[in-house]
Amino acid sequence: MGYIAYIGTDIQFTRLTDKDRRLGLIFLHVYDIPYADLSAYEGIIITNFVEEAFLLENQTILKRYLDQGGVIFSQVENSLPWLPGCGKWVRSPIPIKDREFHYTEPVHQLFQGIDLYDLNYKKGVKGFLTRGYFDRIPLNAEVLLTDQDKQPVLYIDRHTTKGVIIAGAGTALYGYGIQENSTKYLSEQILSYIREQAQKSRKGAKK
Amino acid sequence: MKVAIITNHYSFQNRFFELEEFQYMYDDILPIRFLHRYNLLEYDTIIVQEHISVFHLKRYRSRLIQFLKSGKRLIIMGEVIDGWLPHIEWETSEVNFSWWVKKDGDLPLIQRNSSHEIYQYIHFPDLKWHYHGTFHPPQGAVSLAETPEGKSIFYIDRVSYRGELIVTSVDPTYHIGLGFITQAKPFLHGLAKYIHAK
Repeated sequence: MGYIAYIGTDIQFTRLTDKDRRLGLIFLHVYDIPYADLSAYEGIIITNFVEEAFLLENQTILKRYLDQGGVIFSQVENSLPWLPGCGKWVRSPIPIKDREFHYTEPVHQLFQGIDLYDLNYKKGVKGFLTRGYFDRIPLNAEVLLTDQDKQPVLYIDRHTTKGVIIAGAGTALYGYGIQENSTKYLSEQILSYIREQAQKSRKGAKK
Repeated sequence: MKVAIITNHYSFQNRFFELEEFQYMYDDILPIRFLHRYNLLEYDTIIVQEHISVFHLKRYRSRLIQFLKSGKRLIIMGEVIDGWLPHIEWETSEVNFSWWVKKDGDLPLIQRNSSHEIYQYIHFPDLKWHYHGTFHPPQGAVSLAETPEGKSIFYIDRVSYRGELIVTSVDPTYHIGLGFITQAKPFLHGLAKYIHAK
């Protein structure tokens, strides 16, 4: 099992649990990116607790990682162009109580077995998944999740770099799951998918 | 009254700064990454935004301690983990974010020291959305809001330092920036008015 870096600042919300560590996550402080060997990680999850200006200053490191077949799963509400091909996060004009997310058919394996209701509501509360969407997505990106206005909320981009970018518009999907419903295994499914994609894209990048 | 706010420049924090309705609250925005470039003593009040890199707070803790020792006011919102500032005792708790959608649901909180001057500006029910932890204030500090177990989520400490330390585990600028739980706005306006009045 390869390790996956979990990037953010060191705050209460980003502290890894024992379970996260057993699943192969390693916390990497965002400000350590210039000093870390990212190639040691099969994938990278970037939380929303990052200073985007710093990521922009270090965008070539992320680009190099991707061009070596790396996988980045971003959960950031992007406002700066540090993630190749990614547009900007825009707040949805739809009130949180009325906003709904929809899978793009066929439902992607990332969401296999996950009831859409459980992505829309967490313990009866709406608004956790994200309050926005991307104003544009890369050409040929595969959209996995939209809102009812068909605005893109989560996409996969295999074309902008030699790696794989999975970008959610502030969608804190890793850690979203709760024991009580079908999102229970969402985090595991995300990590499995990242690893699967890393193996495929690293082979491709070497060609 | 010159006020600075320390930030990590997360996207949602930047959106908070874009909100004109709160710009009266602070004069300068100080990025935690470059805190060494600023003379903190030129401010009367410094606010530490929620969820700031603890690594950096530890790096600059002496400067914030010096600020408090000089008689100034420091406000810390959100979590205070790893004991990065002395005299603050933090306990993480499970967050109850769904109480308000449950039938007869409640987040029981008890107002303490209701005659305290800060309550001339803050309406007690306005700090009720959720919290991610609690504090055990030091002897002589004034607890302002507590859980039924007697754990504080909001207190003022004028005994540990020469200055005034205001600590709360609620996270208003985080939620206002996210655009999620905008009930946090009246509380923050109340706090801002207290800062500027006192």
